[in-house]
Amino acid sequence: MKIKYTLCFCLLLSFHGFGQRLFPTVIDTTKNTREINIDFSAEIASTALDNQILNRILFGGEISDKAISDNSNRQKLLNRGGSIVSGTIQYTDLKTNLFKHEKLGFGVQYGYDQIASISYSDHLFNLAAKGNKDFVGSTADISSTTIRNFAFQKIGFGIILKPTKSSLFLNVVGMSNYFKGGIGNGSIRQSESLDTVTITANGNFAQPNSQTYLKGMGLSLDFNYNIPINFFKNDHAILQAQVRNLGVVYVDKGVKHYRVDSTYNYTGFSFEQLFNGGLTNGNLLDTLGIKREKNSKWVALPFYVQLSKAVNEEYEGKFQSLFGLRVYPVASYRPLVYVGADYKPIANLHLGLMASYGGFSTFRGTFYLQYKTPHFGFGVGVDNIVGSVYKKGLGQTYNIQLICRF
Amino acid sequence: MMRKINYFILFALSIVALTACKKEKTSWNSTYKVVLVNDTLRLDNLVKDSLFADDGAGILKLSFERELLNFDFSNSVSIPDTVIVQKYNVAVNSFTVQPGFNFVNNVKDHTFDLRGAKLTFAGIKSGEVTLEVQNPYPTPAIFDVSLPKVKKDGIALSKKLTVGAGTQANPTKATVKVDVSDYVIDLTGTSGTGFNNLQSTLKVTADPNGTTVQVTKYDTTSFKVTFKDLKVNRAKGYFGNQKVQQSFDEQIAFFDKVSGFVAIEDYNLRLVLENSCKLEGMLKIAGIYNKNNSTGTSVALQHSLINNPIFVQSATGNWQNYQPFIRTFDFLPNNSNLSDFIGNLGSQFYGNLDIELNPNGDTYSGWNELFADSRIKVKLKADMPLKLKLENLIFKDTFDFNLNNSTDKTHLKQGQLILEAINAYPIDLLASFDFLDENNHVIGSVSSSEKVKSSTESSLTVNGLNCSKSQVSFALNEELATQLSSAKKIVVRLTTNTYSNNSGMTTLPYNGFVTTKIYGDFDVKFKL
Repeated sequence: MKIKYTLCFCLLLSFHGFGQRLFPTVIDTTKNTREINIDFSAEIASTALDNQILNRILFGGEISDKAISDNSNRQKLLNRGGSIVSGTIQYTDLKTNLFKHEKLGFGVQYGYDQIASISYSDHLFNLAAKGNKDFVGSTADISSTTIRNFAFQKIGFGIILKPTKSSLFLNVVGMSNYFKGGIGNGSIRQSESLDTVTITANGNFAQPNSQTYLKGMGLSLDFNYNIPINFFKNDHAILQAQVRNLGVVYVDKGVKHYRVDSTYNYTGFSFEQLFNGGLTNGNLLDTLGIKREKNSKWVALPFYVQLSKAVNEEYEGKFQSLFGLRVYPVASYRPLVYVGADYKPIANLHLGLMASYGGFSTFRGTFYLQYKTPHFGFGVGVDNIVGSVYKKGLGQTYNIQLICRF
Repeated sequence: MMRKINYFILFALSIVALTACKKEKTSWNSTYKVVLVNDTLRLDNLVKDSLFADDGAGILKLSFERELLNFDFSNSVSIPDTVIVQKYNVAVNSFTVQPGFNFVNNVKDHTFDLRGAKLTFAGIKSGEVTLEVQNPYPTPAIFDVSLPKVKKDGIALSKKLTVGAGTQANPTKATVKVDVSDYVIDLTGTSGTGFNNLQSTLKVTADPNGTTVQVTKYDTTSFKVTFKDLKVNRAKGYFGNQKVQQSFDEQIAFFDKVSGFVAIEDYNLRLVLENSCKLEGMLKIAGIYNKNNSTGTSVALQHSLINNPIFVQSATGNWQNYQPFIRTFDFLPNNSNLSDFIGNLGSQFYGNLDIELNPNGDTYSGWNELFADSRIKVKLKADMPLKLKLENLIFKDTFDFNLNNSTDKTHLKQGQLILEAINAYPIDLLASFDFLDENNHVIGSVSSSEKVKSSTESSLTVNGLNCSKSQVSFALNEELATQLSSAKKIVVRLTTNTYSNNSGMTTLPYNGFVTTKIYGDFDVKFKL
């Protein structure tokens, strides 16, 4: 009973969020089960923003002036950050022989994914967070700015190979949010008296024309290939190759693209412009040198690739090594590498500790706990140990998994 | 079994806990100061009616010309829709007509009923003439019809119509329409000395390829001319004694935007009467009024001219070179109440005039003459240095306003508008802004007790003009900021006073200006 209450407590503590796949995956060899698996994951990370700000971005609430001041001091010339929120509910049936093939099971899943990323300069941070008064009579450099957000849901059907639990899911995808933009070279120069603002920018921005919730539909593949290997002294291990969200979305009403490559000298509007309709969206864009380009119809999904050594539930020793590489083809996301160890103190319980580098942040420590019984399993993990307990940590990542077998 | 139930309860509780997550928006506060408006205001910007000019010495003068009346006499001297018919019967009981034989050759004068006018000449601006002939003869015939004194470029209006054989009971008809725009009509008739007379000729020739036929005195042929929609732009003759009433209603929109007190000194307003018609007339201005639609007050202009008939002499010269008769009447401080009239600050100028043509009858023996652009005009002209006094004169204007400042999104939280002005007018300005909702109810105002200083408090010189520099702040509190989304209009109100050293009257520099920079210094609440 004690364990159950502890588990409940852990879950309720972490209900703020999220979670996705447990990190790393623990693979067992149960073949003849039906299973509901819920994964949630929420990650927010940055190279220069601490949890005083990131917590507010993740959980909401007002960012204090002190938090802005603290973070202003730690900004570097170029900074990165991002957030990945995803969740999947998946039903797998390994009792049924798909296509009457005893090695094939099937699964259906519903998932939500959102990935938002940003690269920005210290000047841009100060402009957005504090205002423009620090730049009176000087120039704010906003070069190398990128911003991107992609949110979508998917519903899919997959084939599962029972012996290895490798799987291939084909999903129908509905895109609910998308925009991306960037400024290659850009600066904002303000005069001493603030009566002249010179904006130089070479950039672009794209977003769908549609204002409806569902902005486009598409198809994607989730591919998971578990490869049994011999690893040191012929121990059995599993190498896992994953590709998720590989696909495209068709946007029926198109994605509008804006491009700017100009210098605009702003000295205020005339009364005529302000009061007599001289200032419309169209001529404002023209004045700023922003050109609208041809619509596009297709948008690639933000897929990711992960190669890792998974935790093998069948391994008889107490310690297993873990390592892996995850890559998102997103500008602000650096390839993430991790290495660590899994400890199995008692049957069904796994504890893990890992170190990682990359992603939206730099060095991070990971801790996870997994407990599985024949009918129920759960796992929780944090991918940024320091960030989970310390407000000046550079982000937080929480993972949670629930499994029900019957 | 109990164990499985426990697992499911735990599973369900976990899902409820996960989905119970509720996220409020991320927010933070930043402050921005940006220039919103950078513009130079001149009186010309405010007064779009072009009322002002330079007097040559750099002083603003009132200079405008408004036409109160532009009376076109062509409407009074018109040729109504008229039908003239020329009928002809041979004089003998019966005779034989050989093919190709011309057996009718008839000339006739017709009289127009021009309601008292006696025209000898008319130039046609537009209109249409329909010619119709009837053939009662038992052989086809060629009708050569002509209006010899209706000409265009010196060529008479003439048509030849071949008409099939007819009978007395059922003559064969033929018609043709002619656009008579730019034709001229000599209405002196065959004699050349009459008036309102039009000459027509009719010739009928038997078809050269026809047969020999008998024509009797009972065979009536006719030539009908229908004049329709004739517009005259030139005329000569006697136009008759006519009385015409005219009214005028002019708007100077600028005055809709001002209220308060204004006094004008040394004014000189001139009424110009211009007659470019060769006729005499009597003109009486029954009244000229200024109406202030805000207060509902009308002020009648007082002057000896009002309600006293004025004799209007004829223009001189000919249609190619004529000199209109011009008479002017000056409205001065000692002969009118013009200061009160303008001080009423009404935008509506209206009045009535009575015009009598040829009040003394046909004194020129039929030599009234109307040229293509002949008019009787009454103009109001002003060309005077403006010396005025303003006491709390309020200039008010309303503009559309649209700002989405929803507190659910990134929005302007509070702040202030900072007006930096350099004023080269000897007028101080106190500004305020009212925000109106869609029902025109005031939902909030911003104002300041500080004024934009008059140039008489000179602190610098720009382009040779004394100027004063001012900075005025307008606080935009959080309560009003949150209501800006529902504001649909903004009312800008400028209260003005002139400054001078002695009489209170002052002149304004023509090149005067108010350079204006309005900065917004705002707290912005970002919400993501």
